[in-house]
Amino acid sequence: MSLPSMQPLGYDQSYSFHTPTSKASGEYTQHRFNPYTDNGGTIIGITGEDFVVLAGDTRHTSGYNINSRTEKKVYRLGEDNSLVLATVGFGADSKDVAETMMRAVNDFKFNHNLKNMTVSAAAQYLSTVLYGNRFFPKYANCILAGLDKDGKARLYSYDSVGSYSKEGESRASAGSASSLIVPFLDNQVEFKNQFVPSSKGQEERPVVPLDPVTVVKLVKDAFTSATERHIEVGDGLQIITVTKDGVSEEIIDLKKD
Amino acid sequence: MFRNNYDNDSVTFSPQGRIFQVEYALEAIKQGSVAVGLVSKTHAVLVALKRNAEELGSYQKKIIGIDTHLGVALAGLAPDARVLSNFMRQQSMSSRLLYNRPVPISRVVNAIADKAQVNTQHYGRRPYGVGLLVAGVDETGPHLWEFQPSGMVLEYKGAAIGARSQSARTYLERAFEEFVDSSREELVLHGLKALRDSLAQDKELTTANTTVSVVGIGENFKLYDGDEVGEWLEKLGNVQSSRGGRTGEEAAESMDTSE
Amino acid sequence: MNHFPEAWGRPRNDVYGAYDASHLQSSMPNQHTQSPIVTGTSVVALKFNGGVVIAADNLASYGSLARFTDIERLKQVGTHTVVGAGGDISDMQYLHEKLLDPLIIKEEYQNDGHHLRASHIYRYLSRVLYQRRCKFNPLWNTLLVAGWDEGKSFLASADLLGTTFAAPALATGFGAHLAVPLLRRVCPDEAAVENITREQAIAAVEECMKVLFYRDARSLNKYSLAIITGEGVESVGEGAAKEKVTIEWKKDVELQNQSWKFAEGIRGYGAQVV
Repeated sequence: MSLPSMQPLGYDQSYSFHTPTSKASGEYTQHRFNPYTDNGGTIIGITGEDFVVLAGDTRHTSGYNINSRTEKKVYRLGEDNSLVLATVGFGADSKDVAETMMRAVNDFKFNHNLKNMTVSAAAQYLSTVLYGNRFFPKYANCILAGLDKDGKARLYSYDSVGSYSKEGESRASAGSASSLIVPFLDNQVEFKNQFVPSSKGQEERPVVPLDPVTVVKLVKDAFTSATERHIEVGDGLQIITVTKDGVSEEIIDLKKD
Repeated sequence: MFRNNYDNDSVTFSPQGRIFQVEYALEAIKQGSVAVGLVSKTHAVLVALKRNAEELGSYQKKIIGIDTHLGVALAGLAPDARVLSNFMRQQSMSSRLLYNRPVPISRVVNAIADKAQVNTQHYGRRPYGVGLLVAGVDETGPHLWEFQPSGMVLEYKGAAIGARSQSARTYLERAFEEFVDSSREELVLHGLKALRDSLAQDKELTTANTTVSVVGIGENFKLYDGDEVGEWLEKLGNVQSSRGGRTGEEAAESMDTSE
Repeated sequence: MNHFPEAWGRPRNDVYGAYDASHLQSSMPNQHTQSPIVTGTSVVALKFNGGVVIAADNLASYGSLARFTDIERLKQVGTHTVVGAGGDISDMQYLHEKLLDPLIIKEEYQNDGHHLRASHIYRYLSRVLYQRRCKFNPLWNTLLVAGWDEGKSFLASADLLGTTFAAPALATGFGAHLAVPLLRRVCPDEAAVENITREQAIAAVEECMKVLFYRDARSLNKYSLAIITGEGVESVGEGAAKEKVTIEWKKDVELQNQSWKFAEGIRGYGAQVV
């Protein structure tokens, strides 16, 4: 029995993920349970030489509804290490991936005489977890970051089936407003399309590592701009900064409209 | 030569109502070096004496962290303890995953008790050859449990297992009334005093052979090993058994109370 | 009496003809739930200083038919928690009767001073819902879990996909559109909770139930309301955590002071011409 009119509101009308009811064959309309949704939001990660900043907005949406203004997207993978994971996409999958990683890091610690997982090991493990769900993917876009054994900042970003670069990246962004933010980071972190003023556009501006104050400023600017232009971004901004002295969290307000 | 007909397996009672395999397992605990545990209103402490099989070898591991709120000290077969502690870790993790709750100490202890009991009732199985002291903190406060291979578990204010543990127990029995209101530091020192009392004549507590762990309300499980133990031994002062005439006031003090 | 127990109690073939079993062997494979059948609509909840109030009406709809008008969609689970369910009623009943009731019984049988509180039950339900969606066999519900936990009021939501979130004002289904904006006016954020009294919270939720009845065609003017209040937890020391949680129920509440004046102004429906 299927009564289309009984479909509860809110499940098939997620506008950014709308899938029309498909005609399976002939005259019957096949109703199918859609196991995914998009809960909006955006995350950013930027590295300096010996620090890394991961940030995400705290809005959680379903279609045009704001479910919550205070759902965090950036997770620490343990209390005594530098590993930080940000996930965005389908909220349930995102939280599940984060929990899986926290569990793995904790297991590793107790199985290796209280030694913490390195950031490169965690990076490979996350890829394995995501690829392990290749045929029923976790709709979670991840950015993983931390300090390696030399205290150098490392940052990795993933697609939903686990592909990533072992070399790591200097910055990344994922989620609904990432297309707005990536070009901004290209310009402000990697100095793309910036030239030495006296060279008349011939000599590219040399890339130098950024300091933490600048990076946090960039993150705040990126999110205030994204909040203006994207309806799924806003409410609050969670910024986690990892340095050799530890991990600190800051939460600031974004526009709530 | 005398031969015991009732100890070939762990499922047969002797006519006296004993299960010898289980009793032998309890003997295995006494082969292990001593471990002491004690609780106050706010903390649970484990201290243990590590042995090295030979000069060139490393010291065995006596205290195993299970989770941020829970750890165990072992006496007996270390491999059996590893199996049990891995199981406890699984229980702890699934409690966190499924209920968002650190596993209650009594629950995880009863879970390993059930595992141990099964071994005493199935033909072809061997009881665990290890005793555990489980120290942890949950919503009902700090706890110390003793686990035995028979499947028996009991909660204690202070407990000691392993070789020469009777001497440590004697100390605990004499001092346990002070434990409840002890501070973190006082509690560890009580533990170390109990531990030191179980030492043989020519032995002393060192940073190499002593291991200490503390867990408290709002305080994660912390293991002190190697050099970290130094600060505790300094606070303890005398590192030799206070039973049987040592120099110093410590010894003098203990002379008039010792049996 | 014949020899086949499976035939006992069945209408006799020689009298009524053989049982037509054609519908039992379907040429189609087994299907999981693809849509809910008998459904409940919104659940509405709001935190206040010292507790939470949660409400849901007593209607179970079968499509557009108001099928049952005495269904209780709020249920107490343990001593600290009330779970409110929207969506499929049979899935809700399964959740309570087959999962939560045995869970609480097992927990209480241990008799060791530990109890499952709101956040524990919420995590459990979230995991169940998420695991079922991963098996492509969802429990078609949106749940609100309201309760008292660790000296604070607790309110969070979980749905058939395993999506979870918490906020000081929540509503499921139609309520997410109609009630949440009204509740957020009273309680924009967590900080506002401490300035909301129990009476204000109840009034706000009752107002929401009324607005929902005006506009949600699958709602009823009779509802249940649960008020969970707690008194702070003393720091854990000797023995068990001490907190006093009381759950007050108001059942079969009828909507009061309805005004249908606004209906006069509605044009475009029904028989009126101008």
